[in-house]
Amino acid sequence: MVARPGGDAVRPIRTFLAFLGTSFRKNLAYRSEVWLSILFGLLAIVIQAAIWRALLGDGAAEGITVDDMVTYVIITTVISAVSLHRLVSDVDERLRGGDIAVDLVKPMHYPTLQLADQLGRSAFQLAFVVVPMVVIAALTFGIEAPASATAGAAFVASLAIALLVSFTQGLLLALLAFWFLTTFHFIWANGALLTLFGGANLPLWFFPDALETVARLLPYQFVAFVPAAIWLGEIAGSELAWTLALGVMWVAIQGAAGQALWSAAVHRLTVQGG
Amino acid sequence: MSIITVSHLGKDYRQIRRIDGRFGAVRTLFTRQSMTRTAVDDISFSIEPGEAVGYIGPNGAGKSTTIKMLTGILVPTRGAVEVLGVEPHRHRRRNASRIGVVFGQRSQLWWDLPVIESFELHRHVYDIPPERYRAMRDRCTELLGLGDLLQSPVRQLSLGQRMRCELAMALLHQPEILFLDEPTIGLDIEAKDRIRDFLRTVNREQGTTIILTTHDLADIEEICPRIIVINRGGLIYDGAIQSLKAQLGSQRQVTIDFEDDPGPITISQATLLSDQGRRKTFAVERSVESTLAVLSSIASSHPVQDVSFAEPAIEDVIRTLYAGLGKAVPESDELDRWSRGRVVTQ
Repeated sequence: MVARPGGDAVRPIRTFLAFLGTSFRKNLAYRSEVWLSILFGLLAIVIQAAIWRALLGDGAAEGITVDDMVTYVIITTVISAVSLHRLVSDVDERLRGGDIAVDLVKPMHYPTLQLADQLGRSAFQLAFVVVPMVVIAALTFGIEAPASATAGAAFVASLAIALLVSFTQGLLLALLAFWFLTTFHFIWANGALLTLFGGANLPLWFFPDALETVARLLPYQFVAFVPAAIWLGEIAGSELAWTLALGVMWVAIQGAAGQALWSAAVHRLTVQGG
Repeated sequence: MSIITVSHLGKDYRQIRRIDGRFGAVRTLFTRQSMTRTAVDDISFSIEPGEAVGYIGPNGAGKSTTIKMLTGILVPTRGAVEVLGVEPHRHRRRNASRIGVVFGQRSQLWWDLPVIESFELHRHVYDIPPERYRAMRDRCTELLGLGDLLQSPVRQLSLGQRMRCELAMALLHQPEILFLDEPTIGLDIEAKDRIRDFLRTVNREQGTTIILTTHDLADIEEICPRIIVINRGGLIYDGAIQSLKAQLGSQRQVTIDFEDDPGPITISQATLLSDQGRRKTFAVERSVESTLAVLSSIASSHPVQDVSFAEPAIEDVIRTLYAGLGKAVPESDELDRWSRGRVVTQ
């Protein structure tokens, strides 16, 4: 009745941004969490920086210095603060409680709605957690500038890939909940894989060759290692192009799988409760 | 042209069978055995534009399951559903843009934000032209007395206030059909009245079709001329509330105060319901003749001080129906669907 079919093409984008903005403001209600998030983020940086300082001293390993590693640690902490993996627990909670019914009676593509919601949260994290944390960390430990202008631009692209890889991965896991009605084990297993192959704790260049070859093919590296390595100029030239292309490919693969799973999920959906 | 058509609709839920006894939990984990539980079975009805229909039944009767299928968020196992000319589950989003839904037990408002933020987002999601949005928002605000509430965070609202906001939001895009799943659950009398008045107005003035599930039969009496009653997944009554009363509430209560305790009284046309000595209550056939016959036969032998009558309450009627007594009610063919009602034996 009200819908204007075939209307302007920007309408979905406006709706998306409106959703994102509302989600951002929702997160403002939890400002008290901000201080804790900043504190724990900094703590993680301090601990990891101390470990690398102990390991590397004033020297370098594989051409990587302590300063490089401090920057690396700050960037991977930032990425983990803005990544969209949290989608899994959000969807799981709504599915268990039956609140998903409320989402589904809206004329919106559910995964897109989730993306907007998660990006709203990320934007909030970026503004209120990441920026203060990076400023404090940079003043305390020092942070290196991007290796080059190209590295800086490529970093922004890799950040977008990081968000989309984590989102599509979270979506796939969340959709499994439609079949198994629980996601705990999947979240745990995926978290373990992410810790190992993401490179947040140990950069991929310190991996044994065989393991590094595997890690360089998997999607996990894009949610920690790749953006940091690009920033530092460790991934450059043709390798940079190839890495970004692989990231886009993983987004496409996971996105397509998510969409397929979503279509199937809708048809076997059991909305809980009366 | 019906706005909703449901024919032979059925929904089964599959449940993994639990195994009791030794290692039961472990065996349950590996078993492929499952049980099928039928939540909705062979339900058929159709609803015309502008109707207000109460969809009632005891807990677990399949009300919410039906509503979910009508709103496109649950896929039927059998039968067919058509809402506004399309199958809701195949065209969920298209269906969603033309209907409004209120779940009494769930909120569609953003918990941490002022109500108005949810309304604004709703405007975008449903692509409501700004002028129409403002008009509708102001109209709902006036009718439901929302006023200052729009600026309050949802979490600070009382349940009654929140439900009024939920209702307003569900109507902002001027849906053709409004589905309400227990909209008055847990509300006080005043909030219920306000919501009922509002729904009546919306139904009458805008011609919005209303489908309402509830356990509060006053909701039905005040809003819905027609009721559909289901039990254990099957349809047991579809028709006017008045004719249901006429069919099932065929007896009225007559309470007689005597000058003195007349002792036990036995009359063939009346059943003694309660005996408090001087005051006795009988159940009598509803026709004027039988009531008069009972009265005159009693008054002729015992001096009577006062007489009062009670019509069957809708609660009693529905209770009778739930109890399965509806089976005995004959179907009348002369009357049209509105006043006839259809009692289906299970």
